[in-house]
Amino acid sequence: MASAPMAAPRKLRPERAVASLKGDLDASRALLWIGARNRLSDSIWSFRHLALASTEHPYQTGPGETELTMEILVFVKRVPATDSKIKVGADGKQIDPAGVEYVLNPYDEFAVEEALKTKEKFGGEVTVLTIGSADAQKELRTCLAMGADKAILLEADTSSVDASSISKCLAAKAKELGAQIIFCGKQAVDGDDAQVGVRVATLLGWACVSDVSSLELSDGAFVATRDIEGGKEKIEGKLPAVLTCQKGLNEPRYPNLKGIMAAKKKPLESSPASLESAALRVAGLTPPPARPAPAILGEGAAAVDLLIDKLKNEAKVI
Amino acid sequence: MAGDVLVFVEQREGSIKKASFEALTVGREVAAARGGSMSAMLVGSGVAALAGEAARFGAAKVFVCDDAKLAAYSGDAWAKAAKVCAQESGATLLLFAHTAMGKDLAPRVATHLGCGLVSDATSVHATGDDVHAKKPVFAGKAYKEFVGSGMTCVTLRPNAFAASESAGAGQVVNVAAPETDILAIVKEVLAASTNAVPLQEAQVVVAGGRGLKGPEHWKLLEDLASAFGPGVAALGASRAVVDAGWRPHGEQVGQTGKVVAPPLYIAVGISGAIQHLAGMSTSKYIVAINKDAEAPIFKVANYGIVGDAFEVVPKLCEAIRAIRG
Repeated sequence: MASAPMAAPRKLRPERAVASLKGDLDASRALLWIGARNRLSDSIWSFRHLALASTEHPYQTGPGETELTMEILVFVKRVPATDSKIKVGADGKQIDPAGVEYVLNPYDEFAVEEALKTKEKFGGEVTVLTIGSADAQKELRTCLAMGADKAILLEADTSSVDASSISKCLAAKAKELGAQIIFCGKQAVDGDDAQVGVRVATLLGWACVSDVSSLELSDGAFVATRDIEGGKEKIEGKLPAVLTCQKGLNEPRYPNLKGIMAAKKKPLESSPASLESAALRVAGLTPPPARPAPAILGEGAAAVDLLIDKLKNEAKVI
Repeated sequence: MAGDVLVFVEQREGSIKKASFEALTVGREVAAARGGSMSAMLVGSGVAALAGEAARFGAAKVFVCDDAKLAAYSGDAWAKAAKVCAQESGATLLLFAHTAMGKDLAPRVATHLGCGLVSDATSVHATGDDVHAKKPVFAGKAYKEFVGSGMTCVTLRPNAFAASESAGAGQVVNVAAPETDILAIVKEVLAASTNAVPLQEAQVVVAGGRGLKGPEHWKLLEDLASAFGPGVAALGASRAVVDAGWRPHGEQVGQTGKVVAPPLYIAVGISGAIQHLAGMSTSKYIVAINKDAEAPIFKVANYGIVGDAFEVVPKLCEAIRAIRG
């Protein structure tokens, strides 16, 4: 599964410079020429790009229409909202979905926002990708409304797979799409695995920083900080990279009405996914262990003496 | 051997993390139950000297990958080193502490080994060759038990397991660092503050919510935390006060913040939204101080005081200082 690392993202909008260098050569021919040169010189120019350069936009007339820019990919997931009550389902392995409201994984909002900021700075295209049921189209539309350009749903029953199977499928798709940078949430708030982003980077042979709380991207490189116990660490690395996003990285934008309307017309591809079987088996899902019966000791400062007595002699924690 | 267990021993600047001693203790017990032995691995530069400490907690062998190139943490380079140690050890169960480093490293190692990983486990046991590991999901609103057959990795939640010493042979096995291009590496470590206790490692967490009425009143909680003495208590916060900008993101406890399980959690002016409860309800003892007797926090609190934080906390602070001081 591991592959040769992709080359660093190309410099942005080279076609303008080359078109002017070529003087009287017409702009569209110059673009096709760059496409051909890139195809020969650069393995990241995957089949998708070939298709884009040769068939989707064969007659472009201006440099703005086919920019040779960053392919930005975001992995997202549909999860129960954090204020949901979680009940164990009848099979004893899954949650009971009755009455549960589903949302875009909160950490993925930071990932989508960072992808949009990256596009705003460097140009490019933001694709959001998820594996799940057809219901996940709702969360993909949310990402499109925030500003992502296109969405892909790999439809599969994920009830019996794990981070190992999901990562393999996502890594293969990222390669097929010619992604140059991937953002995802630091973890999904359902399984709390915090594995998929890091695993995908490892499968692709890419750099990875998990729990990113600040990021500076430059041509082919990045500086990221991540939270560690009692502080932060500053990490330098090379692109391509997978960055898993932590709260504090940015303030995710809310989709506005214009964005929501635009999202309805943006492409959302759906295709069935084949997932490898899980590396782990699920033995069961159980409610959390019950806490001891709560006790109200009293009211106001007068209850402090009793609290101290309990902490000292019963709990023995002070 | 099939029953063997290998524990990644995390060190930062030459000192071993407490959570790694917990992992060594779990590794020793699981290995004994599986009829195998427990070994440790150390990755870094100048780390060979720490092998004796792993032996104190029962490591039969200590695989040491000591190389100047590994002086700073690089997830990609360290994972390759850990993979070589794992292969040389022949272990089929790898344990890590679920720390910032462990949770970054373990998915990489599991991917290299082509195996499953149970992250943030709060209990682990063996039946025959299988490993059963239970972990909180939905930030603790439910627990999921996984079973791994063959090679399996598990990260262990800090503070969820006890550490105990039991001497092992500690035979050092040197492992050469694999040749690799480093893709990303730590260039600088920025400490939040020299005296701050990491939230997830603290023995006591003092957390505040909207009941404190404003960021200017946090002195109250700082005083309470410091009353426990140096290096004991850390400050936490509810999502509401973090979102309001009163406190930094790093202090948020809950489903979209940190999940903590200290021996003592003191919630001051926190009503106990479901997503906050998810992040702290595995704490051993919970104390709640809140004006509203109906607040959901009292449903999980071992000891509750209904009252004004501005009246109760100074008295509590004084009483704790009298005991600890």
